[in-house]
Amino acid sequence: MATVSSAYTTTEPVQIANAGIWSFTAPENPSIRVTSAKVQQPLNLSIVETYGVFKPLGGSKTIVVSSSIYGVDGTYEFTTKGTAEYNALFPVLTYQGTLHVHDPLGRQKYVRFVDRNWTESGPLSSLVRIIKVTYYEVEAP
Amino acid sequence: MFPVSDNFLSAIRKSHVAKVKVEVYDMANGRLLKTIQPISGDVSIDSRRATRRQCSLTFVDTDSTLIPTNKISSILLPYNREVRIYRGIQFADGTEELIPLGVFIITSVDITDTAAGIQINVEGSDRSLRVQRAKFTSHEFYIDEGTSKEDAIKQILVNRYPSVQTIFPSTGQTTAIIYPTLERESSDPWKEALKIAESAGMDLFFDENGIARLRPIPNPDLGNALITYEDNSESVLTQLMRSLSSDETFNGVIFTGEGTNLSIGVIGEAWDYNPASPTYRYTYGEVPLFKSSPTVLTVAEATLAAEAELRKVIGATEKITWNQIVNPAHDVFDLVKIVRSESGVDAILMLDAVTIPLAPSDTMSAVGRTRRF
Repeated sequence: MATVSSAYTTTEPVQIANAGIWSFTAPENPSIRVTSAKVQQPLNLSIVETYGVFKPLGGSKTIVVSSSIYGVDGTYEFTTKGTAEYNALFPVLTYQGTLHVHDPLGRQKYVRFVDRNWTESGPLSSLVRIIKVTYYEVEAP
Repeated sequence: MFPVSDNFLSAIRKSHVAKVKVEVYDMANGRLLKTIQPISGDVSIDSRRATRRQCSLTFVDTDSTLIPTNKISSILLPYNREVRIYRGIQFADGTEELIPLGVFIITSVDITDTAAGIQINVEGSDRSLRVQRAKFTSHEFYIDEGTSKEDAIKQILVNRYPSVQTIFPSTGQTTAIIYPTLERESSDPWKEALKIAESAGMDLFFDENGIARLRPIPNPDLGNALITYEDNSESVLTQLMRSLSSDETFNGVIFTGEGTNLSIGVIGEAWDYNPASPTYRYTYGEVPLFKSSPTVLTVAEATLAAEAELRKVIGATEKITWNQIVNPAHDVFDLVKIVRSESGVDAILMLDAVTIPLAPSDTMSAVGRTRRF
């Protein structure tokens, strides 16, 4: 018998034609917002389910017992050029609450950012930053 | 075993979606405070314990509503809070069948604050705890001579827990006058009630809905299995352990009546007189278990109580412990047939203990006693 739980069940890259009109807003603190963030393609998305995998004695088939299935989680990859773009995005990146996301396809959901990693390159006067953010879809606040 | 649908019994043998629900109630007014989802936990049911049902639950406080902030109105408190726990199945059409696992008084709430978040662990015991805690404080309460044993138990329970619900059949026996034990440390009204039940050969417990019940102790050697778990295409067993030991394998019970108003003690005996049994008195020898009760007044009552106690211990020559895909409908004293050819098991067992997990990744564990034949 082996058990596994909280594994990723699907991963789906999504192509978005226009990467320029994403908006992120904190409903509980509207001053935290960015309305023209550039999110790179492809989008990596996943849905997590909690489950156990069982191999019964003498059985011929595996049995999967699951419980909750959660929302669409994933990562966003932002690109900023120069200090002004980065400074505009920074409060959203570091906000420790729920953000409302509106993507170029008109889809909306609530997310919580949890991990942020980035690289910096180019001249100091116009640093290009590629920022990867892990997020989880959460309930509306 | 809690009554369930055929669809339910079929679904637990296949891949399925398990559902768990935990409701928190205010004991003062019976109001539902919140329904919450634990991340893990279990309910253990053990016929060998005075407190039959106990639970352990782990929650993550995602919205800061579970952290106790005061000792009156917070949701998770070890005062005036009960939880009702359910586990069941969500069928393909979206309908659910949930099985009640018990009503538990919260006894402890432990909070662990880590960088990864707040985790809350809650422990609980069934409603017998309420009777157990309410120790007798005066001799104003007593049970009159000639009271039926079921009424005597009910009087103790109602005196200590006025809103208790009971379903008690007639025992056909009466008690002598009973004064409760008043010594502060040893006073335990629940144990007093258990003793009376034991003297009548009955099983006293709080059931999955929090109702106090009295029933005859089932005979492990009689009756059909309620369900069969076999190592075939419908197998649900994931692990099985057999233990054959002569330790605590009794083949007789000597039950003594010790009422203060008895001029001479009364003794009842029950022995394994079946020559086909591995613990037959005249081949295995005499290995008695001794029991006594102040509420046993006659030899006939002592014999009946001895016979009931023997049913609780007989068959202990072999204990089988197994893990399986969860069937939350199980209860202690259920008769279950287990067939596992590799381990040499093809037997009807009586469940002594069951632990039902709440996380889908965990298996249910069960402890059963084999029949003698």
